[in-house]
Amino acid sequence: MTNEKRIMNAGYIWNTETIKQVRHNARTGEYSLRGFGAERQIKTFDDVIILPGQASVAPVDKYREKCDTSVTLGTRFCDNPLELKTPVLIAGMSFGALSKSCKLAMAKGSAMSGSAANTGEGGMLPDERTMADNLVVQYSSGRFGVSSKYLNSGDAIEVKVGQGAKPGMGGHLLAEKVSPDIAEIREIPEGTDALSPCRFLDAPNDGDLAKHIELIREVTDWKIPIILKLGPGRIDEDVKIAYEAGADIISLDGMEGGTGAAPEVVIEQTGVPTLPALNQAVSTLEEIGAKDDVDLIITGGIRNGGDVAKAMAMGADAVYVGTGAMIAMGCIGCRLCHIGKCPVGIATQIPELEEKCNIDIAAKQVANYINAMTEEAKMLAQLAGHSDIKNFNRSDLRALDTETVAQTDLKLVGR
Amino acid sequence: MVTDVVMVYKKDSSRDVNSEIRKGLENNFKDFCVCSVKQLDSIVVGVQNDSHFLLEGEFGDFIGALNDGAEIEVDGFCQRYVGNNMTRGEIVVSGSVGDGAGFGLRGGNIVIKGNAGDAVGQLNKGGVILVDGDIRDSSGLFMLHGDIIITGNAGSETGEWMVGGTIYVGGDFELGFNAKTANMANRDITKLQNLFSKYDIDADPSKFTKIVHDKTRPFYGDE
Repeated sequence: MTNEKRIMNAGYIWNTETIKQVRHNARTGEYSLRGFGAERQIKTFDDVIILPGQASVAPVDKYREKCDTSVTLGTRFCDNPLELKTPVLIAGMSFGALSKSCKLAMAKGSAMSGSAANTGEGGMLPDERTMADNLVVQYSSGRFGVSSKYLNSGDAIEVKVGQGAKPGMGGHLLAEKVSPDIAEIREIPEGTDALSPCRFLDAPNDGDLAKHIELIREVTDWKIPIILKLGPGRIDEDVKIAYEAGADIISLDGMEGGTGAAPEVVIEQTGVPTLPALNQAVSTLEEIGAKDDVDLIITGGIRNGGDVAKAMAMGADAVYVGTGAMIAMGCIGCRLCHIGKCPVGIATQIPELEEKCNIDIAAKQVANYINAMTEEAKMLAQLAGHSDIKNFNRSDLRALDTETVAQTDLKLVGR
Repeated sequence: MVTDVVMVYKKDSSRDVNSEIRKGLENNFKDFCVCSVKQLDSIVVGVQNDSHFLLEGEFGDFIGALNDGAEIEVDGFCQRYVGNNMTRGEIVVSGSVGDGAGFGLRGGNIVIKGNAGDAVGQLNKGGVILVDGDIRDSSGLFMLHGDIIITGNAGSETGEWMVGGTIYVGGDFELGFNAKTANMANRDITKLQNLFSKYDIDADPSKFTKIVHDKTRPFYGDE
């Protein structure tokens, strides 16, 4: 066995992972990159439970009685809010990070489940627009593929300030990966490094985000909702600014939010976990009297209907799923998205690998996943006594331990 | 007498101005005149055809942003981010403009007959920005493609972190990181001559300095 492989007496501080990291740094002189989001031990929706209706609250019959799962998002200022059959939307993931087949399967799957797809920040594939019934188009710091036509062809526009996996960092698609296809969709010269600056370089002053939102409103004639997407930082202050800037919807990505490539240290050491991030965003919106005006989409580590139900009970109006949708279509979780050689054709631009992602099959699996999640959340709403999933509220939840109580302000179980 | 020009004037909000314009465009009008609208932001934005706009007076931020084909002539001054993220078309401003002229430009021409502020042509992806005057700092930051032409002086950090494209400066400037000067080739001189004659600018292309990106690439470091 070589020294590289041998790890003896791994302890708590110098554990196996840490030793591997140090060896990587020592060997290469560089920080390590990976895909996916934070996977350290943090409080998640698993630390919260749903109280079922019994004698005091009557449950709703799953087989005989109805429970509405539809949501309307973005009613604050725009004429045509998003009308969806499910509160589960597909998160922004770019063509470039993901293959064309994967992007199209997401679009098609979203339509099959009455959900919405999201372009991510890499521009819009023409077929993506055709296949998705509802498509959110992103407007990010790099403005890839952003034009008047692009904005006007969306059903909602997401102004992306940051993301959970690497908040405060921009993005960078290497020139080698900027294929003719990607260059066309991103509207950049072929073989040029595609840079997303870490902040909006054209919004240096207070109030400039509002000006961008006004610009988008004017270009789209106030018709479609504008979502402002934030990574998890100073959530109270950031959410206030997003509200004041005039967003119809705020989307907040917790630190579990995934990525195609980010430094390990950034993924694991920055941001706020989704559960407390959601709590802080909701309490801030309530404090400024904005909770009913603006809709909130929470994202980052949302896996199943349980997470959806708990998020909605805590005050979210909808959720995004990113990693979950990828896993639904066949992702094996190797975390090597950044290498670009995805063995199942999801996070790659190599044609032979991309072939492994069959659009129809992948779309069906994504639709099944969203349908099943929606059904799970609906079942939970009914047993908690609700005939509309939107009626879920904090009194339906309890925290399993005191640390979760401190992070969520929920009541403790048994109290 | 029926006039072909849609007059938009004395409006209090950008929405009012733009909805008048939208109405005109829907009725196939091609010529518009906008005046007496205070210093409103985001006017004449995202127009997707080759109609012609004359704007008179002083205007706010994001004038002609996301333009996709229109010819916009500003007789006056604009504040920041004129022609932001424009795809196609032409914007000519007779006076000076604030910071960020032509930010994120994808195509088309922006011509400023006065001076411009900081951040000219940052993130330019393939358009042409011509300033017949002086500009300030950090022009061409993260520029990927296209041209920035300054007949006067440019400030510090000119071409900072350029990745592609070309900057031409007639006067003095301080180079930014990852930018270097190069010799003016004949095709550079012809390109500038054509632009100068098209926009009636009195300048001698042979006296310009050409600036291109140096050898550092983001992520990789030195090539």
